[in-house]
Amino acid sequence: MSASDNHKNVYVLNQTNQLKGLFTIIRDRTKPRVSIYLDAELSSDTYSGNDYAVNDTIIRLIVEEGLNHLPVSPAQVTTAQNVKFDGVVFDGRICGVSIMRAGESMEQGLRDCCRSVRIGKILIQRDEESQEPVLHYKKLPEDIADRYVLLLDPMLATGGSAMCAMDVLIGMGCKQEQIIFLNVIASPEGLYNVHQRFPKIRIVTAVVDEGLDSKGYITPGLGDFGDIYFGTKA
Amino acid sequence: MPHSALGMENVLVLRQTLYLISLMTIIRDKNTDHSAFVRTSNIIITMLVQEAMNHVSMKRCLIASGSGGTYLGLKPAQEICGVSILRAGESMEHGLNSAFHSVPIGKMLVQRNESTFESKLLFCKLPKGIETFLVFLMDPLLATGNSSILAIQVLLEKGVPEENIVFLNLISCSQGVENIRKQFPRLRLITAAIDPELNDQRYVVPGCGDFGDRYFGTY
Repeated sequence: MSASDNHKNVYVLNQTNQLKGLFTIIRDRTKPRVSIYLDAELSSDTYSGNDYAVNDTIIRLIVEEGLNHLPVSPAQVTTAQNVKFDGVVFDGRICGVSIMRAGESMEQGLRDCCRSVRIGKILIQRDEESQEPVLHYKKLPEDIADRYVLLLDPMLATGGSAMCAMDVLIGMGCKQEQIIFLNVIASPEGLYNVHQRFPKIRIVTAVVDEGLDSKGYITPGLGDFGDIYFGTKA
Repeated sequence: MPHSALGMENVLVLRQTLYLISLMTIIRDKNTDHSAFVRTSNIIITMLVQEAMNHVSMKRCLIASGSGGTYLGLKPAQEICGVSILRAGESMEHGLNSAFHSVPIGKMLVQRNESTFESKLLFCKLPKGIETFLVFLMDPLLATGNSSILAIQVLLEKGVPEENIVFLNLISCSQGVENIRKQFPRLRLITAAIDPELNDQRYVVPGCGDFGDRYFGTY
Protein backbone atom coordinates (compact mmCIF):
# COMPACT_ATOMS: atom_id res chain seq x y z
CA MET A 1 0.00 0.00 0.00
CA SER A 2 1.51 3.29 -1.00
CA ALA A 3 0.25 6.82 -1.12
CA SER A 4 0.60 8.12 -4.64
CA ASP A 5 3.60 10.31 -5.34
CA ASN A 6 1.43 13.09 -6.67
CA HIS A 7 -1.48 13.18 -4.31
CA LYS A 8 -1.60 12.72 -0.60
CA ASN A 9 -5.07 11.19 -0.43
CA VAL A 10 -4.62 8.65 -3.23
CA TYR A 11 -3.72 5.09 -2.25
CA VAL A 12 -2.63 2.57 -4.85
CA LEU A 13 -2.58 -1.15 -4.01
CA ASN A 14 0.77 -2.88 -3.90
CA GLN A 15 1.49 -4.17 -7.40
CA THR A 16 1.96 -7.77 -6.39
CA ASN A 17 2.38 -10.56 -8.93
CA GLN A 18 -1.03 -11.83 -7.92
CA LEU A 19 -2.64 -8.48 -8.66
CA LYS A 20 -0.82 -8.19 -11.97
CA GLY A 21 -1.87 -11.72 -12.87
CA LEU A 22 -5.53 -10.95 -12.19
CA PHE A 23 -5.28 -7.75 -14.23
CA THR A 24 -3.68 -9.60 -17.12
CA ILE A 25 -6.77 -11.78 -17.28
CA ILE A 26 -9.38 -9.03 -17.12
CA ARG A 27 -7.54 -6.73 -19.53
CA ASP A 28 -7.26 -9.46 -22.17
CA ARG A 29 -9.84 -8.64 -24.82
CA THR A 30 -9.74 -12.16 -26.23
CA LYS A 31 -10.90 -13.81 -23.02
CA PRO A 32 -14.59 -14.82 -22.83
CA ARG A 33 -16.76 -12.89 -20.43
CA VAL A 34 -15.39 -13.26 -16.94
CA SER A 35 -17.15 -12.50 -13.75
CA ILE A 36 -14.50 -10.25 -12.32
CA TYR A 37 -15.56 -11.21 -8.85
CA LEU A 38 -14.98 -14.89 -9.60
CA ASP A 39 -12.48 -14.52 -12.44
CA ALA A 40 -9.83 -16.77 -11.00
CA GLU A 41 -12.04 -19.78 -11.62
CA LEU A 42 -12.09 -19.12 -15.37
CA SER A 43 -8.50 -18.07 -15.65
CA SER A 44 -5.42 -19.90 -16.83
CA ASP A 45 -4.32 -23.23 -15.46
CA THR A 46 -2.00 -21.52 -13.04
CA TYR A 47 -4.93 -20.07 -11.15
CA SER A 48 -7.62 -22.65 -11.60
CA GLY A 49 -6.26 -25.00 -8.99
CA ASN A 50 -5.29 -22.27 -6.59
CA ASP A 51 -7.87 -21.82 -3.87
CA TYR A 52 -6.22 -18.73 -2.52
CA ALA A 53 -6.63 -16.94 -5.83
CA VAL A 54 -10.28 -17.95 -6.00
CA ASN A 55 -10.97 -16.13 -2.75
CA ASP A 56 -8.83 -13.06 -3.30
CA THR A 57 -10.07 -10.89 -6.17
CA ILE A 58 -9.23 -7.41 -7.28
CA ILE A 59 -12.40 -5.84 -6.03
CA ARG A 60 -12.17 -7.53 -2.68
CA LEU A 61 -8.60 -6.23 -2.27
CA ILE A 62 -9.72 -2.70 -2.98
CA VAL A 63 -12.64 -2.94 -0.58
CA GLU A 64 -10.47 -4.29 2.18
CA GLU A 65 -7.97 -1.49 1.71
CA GLY A 66 -10.77 1.04 1.71
CA LEU A 67 -12.12 -0.31 5.00
CA ASN A 68 -8.68 0.19 6.50
CA HIS A 69 -9.18 3.94 6.16
CA LEU A 70 -12.12 4.03 8.54
CA PRO A 71 -11.43 5.33 12.04
CA VAL A 72 -11.25 2.96 14.98
CA SER A 73 -11.48 3.28 18.75
CA PRO A 74 -9.70 1.10 21.29
CA ALA A 75 -11.83 -1.71 22.70
CA GLN A 76 -10.88 -4.24 25.32
CA VAL A 77 -12.38 -7.73 25.52
CA THR A 78 -11.74 -10.74 27.74
CA THR A 79 -10.85 -14.02 26.07
CA ALA A 80 -11.97 -17.50 27.09
CA GLN A 81 -8.53 -17.82 28.69
CA ASN A 82 -9.61 -15.01 31.02
CA VAL A 83 -7.02 -12.69 29.55
CA LYS A 84 -7.72 -9.15 28.47
CA PHE A 85 -7.17 -8.34 24.81
CA ASP A 86 -6.68 -4.79 23.56
CA GLY A 87 -8.40 -4.54 20.22
CA VAL A 88 -10.25 -1.98 18.14
CA VAL A 89 -13.79 -1.34 16.96
CA PHE A 90 -14.77 0.60 13.93
CA ASP A 91 -16.03 4.05 14.77
CA GLY A 92 -19.18 5.25 13.12
CA ARG A 93 -21.32 3.65 10.47
CA ILE A 94 -20.78 3.13 6.79
CA CYS A 95 -22.66 2.68 3.57
CA GLY A 96 -21.70 1.94 0.00
CA VAL A 97 -22.85 4.13 -2.86
CA SER A 98 -22.44 2.70 -6.33
CA ILE A 99 -22.37 4.76 -9.48
CA MET A 100 -24.63 2.71 -11.77
CA ARG A 101 -23.99 0.63 -13.77
CA ALA A 102 -20.33 -0.30 -13.50
CA GLY A 103 -20.07 0.59 -9.81
CA GLU A 104 -22.71 -2.02 -9.01
CA SER A 105 -20.18 -4.73 -9.83
CA MET A 106 -18.36 -3.75 -6.66
CA GLU A 107 -21.36 -4.05 -4.34
CA GLN A 108 -21.01 -7.77 -3.72
CA GLY A 109 -17.34 -7.38 -2.83
CA LEU A 110 -18.39 -4.79 -0.27
CA ARG A 111 -21.18 -6.97 1.09
CA ASP A 112 -18.80 -9.89 1.44
CA CYS A 113 -16.65 -7.82 3.77
CA CYS A 114 -19.48 -6.01 5.56
CA ARG A 115 -22.48 -8.28 5.51
CA SER A 116 -25.72 -6.49 4.64
CA VAL A 117 -24.06 -3.08 4.42
CA ARG A 118 -26.49 -0.44 3.23
CA ILE A 119 -26.11 0.38 -0.43
CA GLY A 120 -27.17 3.56 -2.14
CA LYS A 121 -27.24 3.97 -5.90
CA ILE A 122 -26.69 6.92 -8.18
CA LEU A 123 -27.32 7.00 -11.93
CA ILE A 124 -25.35 9.61 -13.84
CA GLN A 125 -25.53 9.94 -17.59
CA ARG A 126 -23.92 12.37 -19.94
CA ASP A 127 -26.28 14.95 -21.45
CA GLU A 128 -26.46 14.22 -25.16
CA GLU A 129 -25.83 17.80 -26.22
CA SER A 130 -23.54 19.26 -23.63
CA GLN A 131 -21.78 15.97 -22.76
CA GLU A 132 -21.90 17.12 -19.15
CA PRO A 133 -22.63 14.42 -16.56
CA VAL A 134 -26.13 14.77 -15.15
CA LEU A 135 -27.83 13.07 -12.20
CA HIS A 136 -30.78 10.92 -13.37
CA TYR A 137 -31.64 8.84 -10.34
CA LYS A 138 -30.61 8.45 -6.75
CA LYS A 139 -31.66 6.29 -3.83
CA LEU A 140 -29.53 6.85 -0.74
CA PRO A 141 -29.84 6.03 2.96
CA GLU A 142 -31.65 8.87 4.69
CA ASP A 143 -28.95 9.30 7.29
CA ILE A 144 -26.09 9.30 4.80
CA ALA A 145 -24.68 12.54 6.20
CA ASP A 146 -23.95 10.60 9.41
CA ARG A 147 -22.12 7.77 7.65
CA TYR A 148 -18.78 7.10 6.05
CA VAL A 149 -19.45 6.60 2.37
CA LEU A 150 -17.57 4.11 0.21
CA LEU A 151 -18.21 5.47 -3.27
CA LEU A 152 -17.88 2.72 -5.90
CA ASP A 153 -16.92 3.12 -9.54
CA PRO A 154 -14.35 0.85 -11.20
CA MET A 155 -13.08 3.26 -13.86
CA LEU A 156 -11.85 6.79 -13.23
CA ALA A 157 -11.24 8.49 -16.58
CA THR A 158 -11.79 12.26 -16.65
CA GLY A 159 -13.48 12.08 -13.26
CA GLY A 160 -16.61 13.83 -14.55
CA SER A 161 -19.09 11.22 -13.32
CA ALA A 162 -17.24 10.68 -10.07
CA MET A 163 -17.23 14.39 -9.29
CA CYS A 164 -20.92 14.65 -10.14
CA ALA A 165 -21.60 11.84 -7.65
CA MET A 166 -19.40 13.53 -5.06
CA ASP A 167 -21.39 16.74 -5.54
CA VAL A 168 -24.56 14.78 -4.81
CA LEU A 169 -23.10 13.37 -1.59
CA ILE A 170 -21.80 16.75 -0.42
CA GLY A 171 -25.19 18.22 -1.26
CA MET A 172 -26.77 15.70 1.08
CA GLY A 173 -24.58 16.83 3.93
CA CYS A 174 -21.58 14.50 3.70
CA LYS A 175 -18.18 16.00 4.41
CA GLN A 176 -15.25 15.26 2.09
CA GLU A 177 -13.44 13.45 4.89
CA GLN A 178 -16.33 10.99 5.13
CA ILE A 179 -16.03 9.89 1.52
CA ILE A 180 -13.65 7.17 0.34
CA PHE A 181 -13.70 6.54 -3.40
CA LEU A 182 -13.03 2.89 -4.34
CA ASN A 183 -11.80 2.35 -7.86
CA VAL A 184 -10.17 -0.37 -9.98
CA ILE A 185 -8.35 1.57 -12.72
CA ALA A 186 -7.60 5.28 -12.53
CA SER A 187 -6.09 7.70 -15.02
CA PRO A 188 -3.65 10.37 -13.86
CA GLU A 189 -6.02 13.01 -15.30
CA GLY A 190 -8.93 11.69 -13.26
CA LEU A 191 -6.93 11.60 -10.05
CA TYR A 192 -5.74 15.14 -10.65
CA ASN A 193 -9.21 16.50 -11.46
CA VAL A 194 -10.87 14.91 -8.45
CA HIS A 195 -8.08 15.96 -6.14
CA GLN A 196 -8.24 19.55 -7.32
CA ARG A 197 -11.94 19.83 -6.51
CA PHE A 198 -12.13 17.58 -3.50
CA PRO A 199 -8.68 17.44 -1.92
CA LYS A 200 -9.96 15.76 1.24
CA ILE A 201 -11.71 12.83 -0.45
CA ARG A 202 -9.55 9.72 -0.21
CA ILE A 203 -9.17 7.52 -3.28
CA VAL A 204 -8.21 3.83 -3.19
CA THR A 205 -7.36 2.31 -6.56
CA ALA A 206 -5.74 -0.90 -7.76
CA VAL A 207 -3.70 0.64 -10.55
CA VAL A 208 -2.98 3.98 -12.22
CA ASP A 209 -2.87 3.58 -16.00
CA GLU A 210 -0.96 5.67 -18.52
CA GLY A 211 -3.64 8.16 -19.51
CA LEU A 212 -6.67 8.81 -21.69
CA ASP A 213 -6.98 8.25 -25.42
CA SER A 214 -8.53 10.70 -27.89
CA LYS A 215 -12.04 9.45 -27.02
CA GLY A 216 -11.50 9.87 -23.30
CA TYR A 217 -11.13 6.17 -22.53
CA ILE A 218 -8.46 5.00 -20.13
CA THR A 219 -5.49 3.46 -21.88
CA PRO A 220 -4.32 0.69 -21.78
CA GLY A 221 -7.46 0.18 -19.68
CA LEU A 222 -9.76 -2.70 -20.46
CA GLY A 223 -12.72 -1.24 -22.34
CA ASP A 224 -16.11 -0.64 -20.82
CA PHE A 225 -16.07 -2.24 -17.37
CA GLY A 226 -19.86 -2.43 -17.11
CA ASP A 227 -20.19 -4.15 -20.49
CA ILE A 228 -17.46 -6.67 -19.65
CA TYR A 229 -18.77 -7.45 -16.17
CA PHE A 230 -22.45 -7.72 -17.12
CA GLY A 231 -21.87 -9.32 -20.51
CA THR A 232 -23.54 -6.60 -22.55
CA LYS A 233 -20.64 -5.99 -24.91
CA ALA A 234 -21.82 -4.55 -28.20
CA MET B 1 -43.21 -28.80 -7.99
CA PRO B 2 -44.95 -25.48 -8.38
CA HIS B 3 -48.63 -25.33 -9.13
CA SER B 4 -50.54 -23.33 -11.66
CA ALA B 5 -52.42 -20.47 -10.06
CA LEU B 6 -55.69 -18.73 -10.67
CA GLY B 7 -56.49 -21.17 -13.46
CA MET B 8 -53.75 -19.63 -15.62
CA GLU B 9 -51.45 -21.94 -17.47
CA ASN B 10 -48.23 -19.95 -17.48
CA VAL B 11 -48.37 -18.70 -13.91
CA LEU B 12 -46.42 -20.91 -11.52
CA VAL B 13 -46.33 -20.51 -7.76
CA LEU B 14 -43.59 -22.21 -5.77
CA ARG B 15 -44.78 -25.13 -3.68
CA GLN B 16 -45.91 -23.64 -0.36
CA THR B 17 -43.69 -25.72 1.87
CA LEU B 18 -43.41 -25.03 5.61
CA TYR B 19 -39.86 -23.81 5.04
CA LEU B 20 -40.86 -21.36 2.30
CA ILE B 21 -43.71 -19.95 4.36
CA SER B 22 -41.39 -19.47 7.34
CA LEU B 23 -38.96 -17.56 5.11
CA MET B 24 -41.78 -15.43 3.68
CA THR B 25 -42.90 -14.70 7.23
CA ILE B 26 -39.48 -13.22 7.97
CA ILE B 27 -39.39 -10.93 4.95
CA ARG B 28 -42.98 -9.82 5.37
CA ASP B 29 -42.50 -8.91 9.03
CA LYS B 30 -41.92 -5.14 9.29
CA ASN B 31 -39.81 -5.74 12.42
CA THR B 32 -37.29 -7.92 10.61
CA ASP B 33 -33.92 -6.16 10.66
CA HIS B 34 -31.96 -5.25 7.56
CA SER B 35 -29.42 -8.04 7.84
CA ALA B 36 -32.01 -10.79 8.29
CA PHE B 37 -34.09 -9.39 5.43
CA VAL B 38 -31.14 -9.60 3.02
CA ARG B 39 -30.12 -13.13 4.08
CA THR B 40 -33.67 -14.47 3.92
CA SER B 41 -34.50 -12.80 0.60
CA ASN B 42 -31.37 -14.36 -0.89
CA ILE B 43 -32.58 -17.83 0.10
CA ILE B 44 -36.01 -17.30 -1.47
CA ILE B 45 -34.39 -15.88 -4.60
CA THR B 46 -32.26 -19.02 -4.86
CA MET B 47 -35.40 -21.15 -4.67
CA LEU B 48 -37.06 -19.12 -7.43
CA VAL B 49 -33.99 -19.35 -9.65
CA GLN B 50 -33.80 -23.11 -9.17
CA GLU B 51 -37.39 -23.43 -10.33
CA ALA B 52 -36.67 -21.09 -13.22
CA MET B 53 -33.76 -23.23 -14.38
CA ASN B 54 -36.29 -26.01 -15.00
CA HIS B 55 -37.60 -23.94 -17.90
CA VAL B 56 -34.30 -23.94 -19.78
CA SER B 57 -34.43 -26.24 -22.82
CA MET B 58 -32.11 -29.15 -22.35
CA LYS B 59 -30.56 -31.62 -24.73
CA ARG B 60 -29.37 -35.12 -24.05
CA CYS B 61 -25.70 -35.81 -23.74
CA LEU B 62 -23.75 -38.98 -23.06
CA ILE B 63 -20.87 -38.63 -20.69
CA ALA B 64 -18.25 -41.04 -19.44
CA SER B 65 -17.96 -41.30 -15.68
CA GLY B 66 -14.74 -41.86 -13.77
CA SER B 67 -15.80 -45.41 -12.86
CA GLY B 68 -15.72 -46.61 -16.45
CA GLY B 69 -19.46 -46.32 -17.13
CA THR B 70 -21.51 -43.90 -19.15
CA TYR B 71 -24.43 -41.69 -18.17
CA LEU B 72 -27.12 -40.28 -20.44
CA GLY B 73 -27.63 -36.83 -18.96
CA LEU B 74 -28.79 -33.35 -19.89
CA LYS B 75 -27.17 -30.06 -20.61
CA PRO B 76 -28.60 -26.64 -21.44
CA ALA B 77 -29.57 -26.28 -25.08
CA GLN B 78 -30.09 -22.54 -25.12
CA GLU B 79 -28.34 -19.39 -23.98
CA ILE B 80 -29.87 -17.52 -21.14
CA CYS B 81 -29.56 -14.06 -19.73
CA GLY B 82 -31.06 -12.13 -16.86
CA VAL B 83 -32.68 -8.73 -17.15
CA SER B 84 -33.21 -6.93 -13.89
CA ILE B 85 -35.65 -4.11 -13.38
CA LEU B 86 -33.66 -1.62 -11.32
CA ARG B 87 -33.45 -1.21 -8.40
CA ALA B 88 -35.17 -4.04 -6.60
CA GLY B 89 -34.60 -6.54 -9.40
CA GLU B 90 -30.86 -6.23 -8.99
CA SER B 91 -31.13 -8.11 -5.71
CA MET B 92 -31.81 -11.21 -7.78
CA GLU B 93 -28.79 -11.03 -10.08
CA HIS B 94 -26.41 -12.92 -7.83
CA GLY B 95 -28.92 -15.68 -7.29
CA LEU B 96 -29.10 -16.17 -11.04
CA ASN B 97 -25.33 -16.06 -11.44
CA SER B 98 -24.93 -18.75 -8.79
CA ALA B 99 -27.16 -21.09 -10.77
CA PHE B 100 -25.75 -20.23 -14.18
CA HIS B 101 -22.19 -19.01 -13.97
CA SER B 102 -21.28 -15.84 -15.88
CA VAL B 103 -24.81 -15.31 -17.13
CA PRO B 104 -25.07 -11.94 -18.99
CA ILE B 105 -27.18 -9.41 -17.12
CA GLY B 106 -29.18 -6.66 -18.77
CA LYS B 107 -30.62 -3.80 -16.77
CA MET B 108 -33.61 -1.54 -17.18
CA LEU B 109 -34.60 1.38 -15.01
CA VAL B 110 -38.31 2.04 -15.05
CA GLN B 111 -39.60 4.71 -12.75
CA ARG B 112 -43.09 4.88 -11.45
CA ASN B 113 -44.57 8.32 -10.94
CA GLU B 114 -46.06 8.09 -7.44
CA SER B 115 -48.93 10.48 -8.25
CA THR B 116 -50.02 9.27 -11.67
CA PHE B 117 -48.71 5.68 -11.28
CA GLU B 118 -47.42 5.89 -14.86
CA SER B 119 -44.08 4.34 -15.72
CA LYS B 120 -41.17 5.68 -17.76
CA LEU B 121 -38.00 3.99 -19.10
CA LEU B 122 -34.92 5.85 -17.84
CA PHE B 123 -32.06 3.46 -18.61
CA CYS B 124 -31.63 0.33 -20.70
CA LYS B 125 -28.58 -1.86 -21.40
CA LEU B 126 -29.24 -5.34 -22.75
CA PRO B 127 -26.94 -8.16 -23.93
CA LYS B 128 -26.24 -8.37 -27.63
CA GLY B 129 -28.23 -11.15 -29.32
CA ILE B 130 -30.89 -11.09 -26.61
CA GLU B 131 -33.53 -12.02 -29.19
CA THR B 132 -32.05 -15.53 -29.21
CA PHE B 133 -31.86 -15.98 -25.43
CA LEU B 134 -34.18 -17.30 -22.81
CA VAL B 135 -34.65 -14.13 -20.76
CA PHE B 136 -35.19 -14.24 -17.01
CA LEU B 137 -36.84 -10.93 -16.20
CA MET B 138 -36.39 -10.14 -12.51
CA ASP B 139 -38.37 -7.92 -10.17
CA PRO B 140 -39.17 -9.06 -6.63
CA LEU B 141 -42.51 -7.32 -6.32
CA LEU B 142 -45.30 -7.19 -8.87
CA ALA B 143 -48.00 -4.70 -7.93
CA THR B 144 -50.09 -3.15 -10.73
CA GLY B 145 -47.72 -4.56 -13.31
CA ASN B 146 -47.22 -1.21 -15.05
CA SER B 147 -43.40 -1.17 -14.69
CA SER B 148 -43.16 -4.81 -15.68
CA ILE B 149 -45.39 -4.34 -18.70
CA LEU B 150 -43.20 -1.50 -19.92
CA ALA B 151 -40.09 -3.63 -19.44
CA ILE B 152 -41.67 -6.57 -21.28
CA GLN B 153 -42.63 -4.29 -24.16
CA VAL B 154 -39.03 -3.14 -24.47
CA LEU B 155 -37.90 -6.78 -24.67
CA LEU B 156 -40.49 -7.54 -27.34
CA GLU B 157 -39.33 -4.51 -29.32
CA LYS B 158 -35.80 -5.86 -29.18
CA GLY B 159 -37.06 -9.03 -30.81
CA VAL B 160 -37.39 -11.34 -27.80
CA PRO B 161 -40.33 -13.69 -28.43
CA GLU B 162 -42.96 -13.62 -25.66
CA GLU B 163 -42.50 -17.33 -24.98
CA ASN B 164 -38.81 -16.71 -24.29
CA ILE B 165 -39.51 -14.46 -21.33
CA VAL B 166 -39.70 -15.97 -17.85
CA PHE B 167 -40.63 -13.40 -15.21
CA LEU B 168 -39.28 -14.12 -11.71
CA ASN B 169 -40.95 -12.59 -8.77
CA LEU B 170 -41.16 -13.02 -4.97
CA ILE B 171 -44.56 -11.53 -4.23
CA SER B 172 -47.15 -10.60 -6.80
CA CYS B 173 -50.60 -9.15 -6.58
CA SER B 174 -53.42 -10.98 -8.35
CA GLN B 175 -54.31 -7.77 -10.18
CA GLY B 176 -50.80 -7.41 -11.59
CA VAL B 177 -50.65 -11.06 -12.57
CA GLU B 178 -53.92 -10.76 -14.48
CA ASN B 179 -52.79 -7.58 -16.23
CA ILE B 180 -49.62 -9.26 -17.44
CA ARG B 181 -51.39 -12.46 -18.39
CA LYS B 182 -53.99 -10.63 -20.49
CA GLN B 183 -51.35 -8.74 -22.47
CA PHE B 184 -48.73 -11.46 -22.71
CA PRO B 185 -50.40 -14.88 -22.48
CA ARG B 186 -47.33 -16.79 -23.66
CA LEU B 187 -45.00 -15.24 -21.06
CA ARG B 188 -44.22 -17.46 -18.07
CA LEU B 189 -44.38 -16.04 -14.55
CA ILE B 190 -42.84 -17.76 -11.54
CA THR B 191 -43.65 -16.35 -8.12
CA ALA B 192 -43.32 -17.38 -4.48
CA ALA B 193 -46.67 -15.91 -3.43
CA ILE B 194 -49.73 -14.20 -4.89
CA ASP B 195 -51.24 -11.63 -2.53
CA PRO B 196 -54.82 -10.50 -2.89
CA GLU B 197 -54.77 -6.72 -3.09
CA LEU B 198 -53.09 -3.33 -3.33
CA ASN B 199 -53.30 -0.39 -0.94
CA ASP B 200 -53.96 3.25 -1.88
CA GLN B 201 -50.34 3.82 -2.82
CA ARG B 202 -50.61 0.71 -5.02
CA TYR B 203 -48.26 -1.34 -2.87
CA VAL B 204 -48.98 -5.03 -2.51
CA VAL B 205 -50.91 -5.99 0.65
CA PRO B 206 -49.87 -7.74 2.82
CA GLY B 207 -46.71 -7.74 0.70
CA CYS B 208 -43.40 -6.98 2.42
CA GLY B 209 -43.11 -3.19 2.22
CA ASP B 210 -40.74 -1.55 -0.23
CA PHE B 211 -38.41 -4.38 -1.26
CA GLY B 212 -35.68 -2.15 -2.72
CA ASP B 213 -35.48 0.04 0.37
CA ARG B 214 -35.40 -2.96 2.69
CA TYR B 215 -32.85 -4.95 0.66
CA PHE B 216 -30.45 -2.07 0.08
CA GLY B 217 -31.11 -0.40 3.42
CA THR B 218 -32.06 2.98 2.05
CA TYR B 219 -34.67 4.04 4.53
